[in-house]
Amino acid sequence: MKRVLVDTNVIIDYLRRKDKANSLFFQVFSLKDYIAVVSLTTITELWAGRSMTKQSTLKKVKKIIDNCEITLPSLEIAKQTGRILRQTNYQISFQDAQIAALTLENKFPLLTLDQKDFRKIKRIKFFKLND
Amino acid sequence: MTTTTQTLNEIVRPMERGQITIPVAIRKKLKITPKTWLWVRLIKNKILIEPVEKKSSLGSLSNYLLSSVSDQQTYWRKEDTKALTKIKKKSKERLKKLI
Repeated sequence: MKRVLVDTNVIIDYLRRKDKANSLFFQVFSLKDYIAVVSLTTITELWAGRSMTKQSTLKKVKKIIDNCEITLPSLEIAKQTGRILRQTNYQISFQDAQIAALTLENKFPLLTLDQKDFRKIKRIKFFKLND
Repeated sequence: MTTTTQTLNEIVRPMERGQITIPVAIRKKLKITPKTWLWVRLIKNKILIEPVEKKSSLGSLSNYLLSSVSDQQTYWRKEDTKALTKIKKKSKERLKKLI
């Protein structure tokens, strides 16, 4: 099973949709070929949502996170995040830079719905289904 | 064998089938018990061993997603997405102030 780092927007898209089977998150992880890896940044972003005060949302998100692996930052990740911010001339957010650093350091492909900002970072590998 | 309690490192030799003993001090520090799952990864030329809560949730996310495929509830509001965009914008502004 391959590990794939999941950006927050992929999980949010799944949570927002009524037709969950059409979400990218469902299409990738309903297959048993991939392991979803999430960062602490993503967990922070999810918990920042006011929707999380609703019991049903909290329960749903907890269930998803419980079934994902969590990748933790390290000193190297912190340095890499800083380098990315510098190299992109501070055009991307701290959050995206940290997700990118985790992707690069762990050599995980990144699953995101918004590649625009990440394309500014050299060596980022995006996840493609059947990769 | 060298042991440094301060930095918690030790040189060990793998056994025939690749098994190694994690030093007691490290096991204690990370609360590693025989029930702990360890995630073993090769990163560049280094082996990273990390305690994880459970064994890589093999297929359990898939099972969960498939079991809730008929769930049509919307769990996330547009306002929350807007709030996240605002947080990212603030982070960029903060960084620009620092440099």
